[in-house]
Amino acid sequence: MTDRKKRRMRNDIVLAFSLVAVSLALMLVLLLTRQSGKSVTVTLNGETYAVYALDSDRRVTIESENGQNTLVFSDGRVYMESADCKDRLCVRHAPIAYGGESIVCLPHGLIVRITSDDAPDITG
Amino acid sequence: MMKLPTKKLTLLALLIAFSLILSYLESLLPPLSAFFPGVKLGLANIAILFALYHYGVKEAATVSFIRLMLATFLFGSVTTWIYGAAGAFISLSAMAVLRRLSCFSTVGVSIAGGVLHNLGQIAVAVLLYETASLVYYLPVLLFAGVLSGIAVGVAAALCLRYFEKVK
Repeated sequence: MTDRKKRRMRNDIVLAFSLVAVSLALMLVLLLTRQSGKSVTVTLNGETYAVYALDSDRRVTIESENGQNTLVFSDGRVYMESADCKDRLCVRHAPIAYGGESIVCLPHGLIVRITSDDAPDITG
Repeated sequence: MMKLPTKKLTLLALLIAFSLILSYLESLLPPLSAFFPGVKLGLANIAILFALYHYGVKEAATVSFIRLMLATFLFGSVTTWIYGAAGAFISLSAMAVLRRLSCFSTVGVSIAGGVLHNLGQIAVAVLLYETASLVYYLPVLLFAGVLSGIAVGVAAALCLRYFEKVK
């Protein structure tokens, strides 16, 4: 193997490892600073649609101009039960419960985000 | 209209078709995206990387652009296009620069390309939806980007090598 190739391979490895290290460090930081969620903010195309208390039991159906999503709140967590978007990535997402976590339905412009502020009871 | 040698035209067309098929195959695989939304293997990058190394930036950009248009019309929506364009543009620019600098092999270049592709998409999402909470996806994206970057880089290198031999 030529010196040039060796050098490139070494750089590859350095790059790969540093990126992995960064991702692990980031994950550690996020894990350590995560807070239990209190309220769930739903935004549609950037505008706030509704705010709910995380600690509730309910089913919410959101109609947007691109389709429909159904959120379920139960057991202190929230998840997307169903959606009529093409990829349904939002439905396959695991339930979320901690501050900062979110479930996103890109095709519908829908973001379900957990914050650790108390719900200002906009929607109750 | 620029004059394009038939052989090159055919090869570029094949690469575009190849990348579309790869995207389709990818979508059939069991969803990793249950826990890691937005994680893509990015296998289609094999074609783009190949075009970049075998020809150059212009050709790679052509493959990338046409592939994006076709993929959007065939399988996607406007959002597909916005995110696809952002990711592809950032990714290709970086890969072209890195290739010029000649400090990485195809593996390193594709790692950078893959990671930046995902970062580009997250950046667009953050800008459009004005929320920084999407940063939670970063660790997974980085890690997955490295792994898939390695796979894509190796695959592209193999293709390039055998292509040289066949010539």
